Amino acid sequence: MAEIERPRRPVPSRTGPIRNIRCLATPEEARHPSSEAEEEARGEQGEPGEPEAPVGTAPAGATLGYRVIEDYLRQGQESARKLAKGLAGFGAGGSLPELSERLLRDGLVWMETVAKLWASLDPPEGAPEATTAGPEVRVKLASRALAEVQVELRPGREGRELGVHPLRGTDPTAPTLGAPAMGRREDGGFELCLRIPDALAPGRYSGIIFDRDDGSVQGTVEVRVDAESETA
Amino acid sequence: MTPAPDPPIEVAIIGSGCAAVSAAFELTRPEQRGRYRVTIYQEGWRFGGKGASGRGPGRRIEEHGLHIWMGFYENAFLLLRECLAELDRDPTTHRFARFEDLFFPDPVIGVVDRRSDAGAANWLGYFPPGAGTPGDPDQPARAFSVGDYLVRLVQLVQALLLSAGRAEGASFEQVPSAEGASFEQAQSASESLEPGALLERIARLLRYGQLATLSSALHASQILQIALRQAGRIPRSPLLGLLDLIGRAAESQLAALVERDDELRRIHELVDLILAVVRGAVRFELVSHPEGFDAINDYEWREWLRMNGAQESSLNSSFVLSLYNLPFAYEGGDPARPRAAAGDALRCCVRAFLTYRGSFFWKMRTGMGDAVFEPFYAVLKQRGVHFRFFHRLTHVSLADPGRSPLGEPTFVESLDFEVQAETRSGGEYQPLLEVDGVHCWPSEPDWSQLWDGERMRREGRAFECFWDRRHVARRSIRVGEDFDMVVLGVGIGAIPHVASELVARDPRWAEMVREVKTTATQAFQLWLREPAGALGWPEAAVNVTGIDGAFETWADMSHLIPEERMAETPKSVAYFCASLPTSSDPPGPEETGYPAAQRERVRRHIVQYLDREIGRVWPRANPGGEFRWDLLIPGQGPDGGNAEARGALRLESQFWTANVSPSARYTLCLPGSARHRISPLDHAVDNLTIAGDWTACGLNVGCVEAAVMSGRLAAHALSGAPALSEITGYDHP
Repeated sequence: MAEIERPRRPVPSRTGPIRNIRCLATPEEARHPSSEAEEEARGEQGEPGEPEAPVGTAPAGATLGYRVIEDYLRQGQESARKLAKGLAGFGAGGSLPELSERLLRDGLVWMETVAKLWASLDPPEGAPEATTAGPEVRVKLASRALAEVQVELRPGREGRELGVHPLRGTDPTAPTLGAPAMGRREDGGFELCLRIPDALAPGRYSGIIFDRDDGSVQGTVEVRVDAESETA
Repeated sequence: MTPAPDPPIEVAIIGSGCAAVSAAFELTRPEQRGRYRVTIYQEGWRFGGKGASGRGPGRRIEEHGLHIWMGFYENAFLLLRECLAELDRDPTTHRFARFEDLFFPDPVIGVVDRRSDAGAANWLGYFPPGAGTPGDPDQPARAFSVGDYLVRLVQLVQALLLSAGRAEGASFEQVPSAEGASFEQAQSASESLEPGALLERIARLLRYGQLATLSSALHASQILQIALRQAGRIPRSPLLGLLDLIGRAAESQLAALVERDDELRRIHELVDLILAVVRGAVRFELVSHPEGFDAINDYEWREWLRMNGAQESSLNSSFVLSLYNLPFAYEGGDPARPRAAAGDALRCCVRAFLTYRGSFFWKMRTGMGDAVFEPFYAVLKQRGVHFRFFHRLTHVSLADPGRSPLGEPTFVESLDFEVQAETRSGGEYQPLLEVDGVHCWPSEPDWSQLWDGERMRREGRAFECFWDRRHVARRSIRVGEDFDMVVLGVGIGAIPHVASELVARDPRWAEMVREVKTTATQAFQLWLREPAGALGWPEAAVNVTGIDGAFETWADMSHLIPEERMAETPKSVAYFCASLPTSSDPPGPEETGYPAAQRERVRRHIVQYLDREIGRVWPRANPGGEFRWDLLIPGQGPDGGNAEARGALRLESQFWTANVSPSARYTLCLPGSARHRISPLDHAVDNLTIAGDWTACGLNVGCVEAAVMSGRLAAHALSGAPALSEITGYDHP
């Protein structure tokens, strides 16, 4: 039967939201990557398209803040457990109205303190501006299935030895995709080699790119494997 | 508008709910230069889907349920405001010309709470105004980051503390502000300390092990803040110890008092829950997880909070239960089975509580159909969109796989419809009626426009009922002739019935219809002869949830009275809603008695509820265990019920609904289900995209905002616009 002449949908640049660390980084840039460029494209070509999103980096203050909160909470679990057991602590005496008033007052102070603490975590004055352009990553992909690969890498990683954790699906019981090989190219960029087994279940697989020297998180890899094969 | 250089692309949009209308709005923007020519196919006589409303007897407003928009509905408000701007109606002649004419802020939520003495009390949570207005085009940078949310959680608790401190009878404006509290008074010489001296002070404080006085806690806080400003020069450990010290001081005081004071107990529960959220965010590495909050979507919301240290009393608090009530998060509608995916619940909570703008809630001054869908209908009509009312989709036919070039996805070849009615003129059905110069959607079709309309009216044709399959014709439209692309904007419940080929061919679609569950809902509206205050409700008009009985949520909607035209003006209007326990899979079209049986069930629920339960909020409405039925304003015309009816028969003059049709059911997000959703961006069928709050639209919760996001995604899938970065909240942890 003859093929029907019909307009085709544009192939989407991606099929899911970005939920990874880039959202945390420079949110305004990540969410409005190049509004002017988009407007221009829209005006001149009438072809509004999805621009390529940039890579960002987490502000130092925010990173510190996360660590502080994490450690604070770990230590705070002890107090939470005590609270759960009903330890009264100080302030148990006095009339209810007095205690209520004090609690309200102290509670406000506490909350305000923590809020101000967070507000104080902005990068210090004079700190260098975060760069947004990451090194180039070339992807070599071997796959029978249709697959979409998305790599997010922080800037300033040139010359580093990077590794990738095994890519995991959203189903914790499903097998992992394995760890892709991450190599360096002569031009300073990176090369990610990924092979998708034929038997791999369709779905989304993701993993962390880490620095082999200090283990720090440097980016993410996400692979979406479709149900239909390329030649179906 | 400059015409598009090429022949326009014909788009068939099925459905006219929030998602479908948003897609139509995006595809027909002037910036698209007429590239897409849209036709909307809709069963029945009106727009709106689950957001539809109609004018009934006495021009009273009759809704599908309780519709209140939330202050984080950025996409929904943006599109509506753009729509209103494009219409540019004159506010001197049109009472709903502007956004502020249609919506007003409602910053209070009420929760019926269990008291420590086993009684019930009403707790009003006040949310202070958020900066800006939802949908502001010049919105400030929004940091949708976990870290930013942690900051805002703390600020929210501040606001709730203020609410709890409200003296009885005092207005919210009289509550003293937290600004200028004694924190500033705790300035000390520490400001100028060098790191070494600062460390010594911290160490001295830590040696105490406990902050014994308020002044010491204040001093410690000040030192902590200063020390953190020197981040990098002060080791982390003592800072964390100091933080812990301050936190412990506050918690120990809470624990001393919660058993004796309900207000403090609620504060304690919230603090406990917030700590559990933050602790869980750290434990599950949500701050940097590639999947964001999706990483915890296999957990049930309360189960996840519990495993992160939340106490049972907090988990069973009325506040937490209200988080299930408002989105009907009960599997099978069963109140004993509250279930929600933790990741999506957390995402929705942080969006709702921490990113609202202007007000936590926004209420409409008229029905949702008139406030939202009438402007969209008007602007779409202005843009040249065609409307095919009374068209019920029955089948989506896919092309044989061999018809597509090798490696290309399949496509929709034809769409089959049942034509439920045809107009006498042969032209487009005109769906609106006028109420004092404003166009509104009616609760019934205008039978006079329809062929055999009077007979259809007598027969009681229910065009929106899945089980009423009566029709006057069938129609099939074909790709390349009638359409090029399709936006499937029906509810998920309808998918197995209309897209069976897709479900059979693609296992992902089969999984989606199996795993993405819905629940039926029930709702009723009362027009009363007394205001809520006279019925014993002690507070101002609010939205209250957590009520015992079949309907856990009540909203005082008396602000709608001026917009209605009833012969006897009510003193108050009350809306109630809840999930309706039914099977997760409604019966097939052959079970024609099902909708009437469910409607009768809802009627019985209402009678029982008003007789036995309404006293929780209106203690003077059911003295002696029987509702004062004479409170209800009787029939408002030939279709409004018997004006002479007495007792529970008076209920016939009011409005209620059992939302049981597959497309009318509310979408749930159960643990483990979100990953089975398919995105509007999915490309498995080349000329088809999907739209609805049941799709993978970034916010997997049944609500207007999710539907609008999905509609915008659907438009992006077909046209590339709007850019994904313009869909607020799509890229989100």
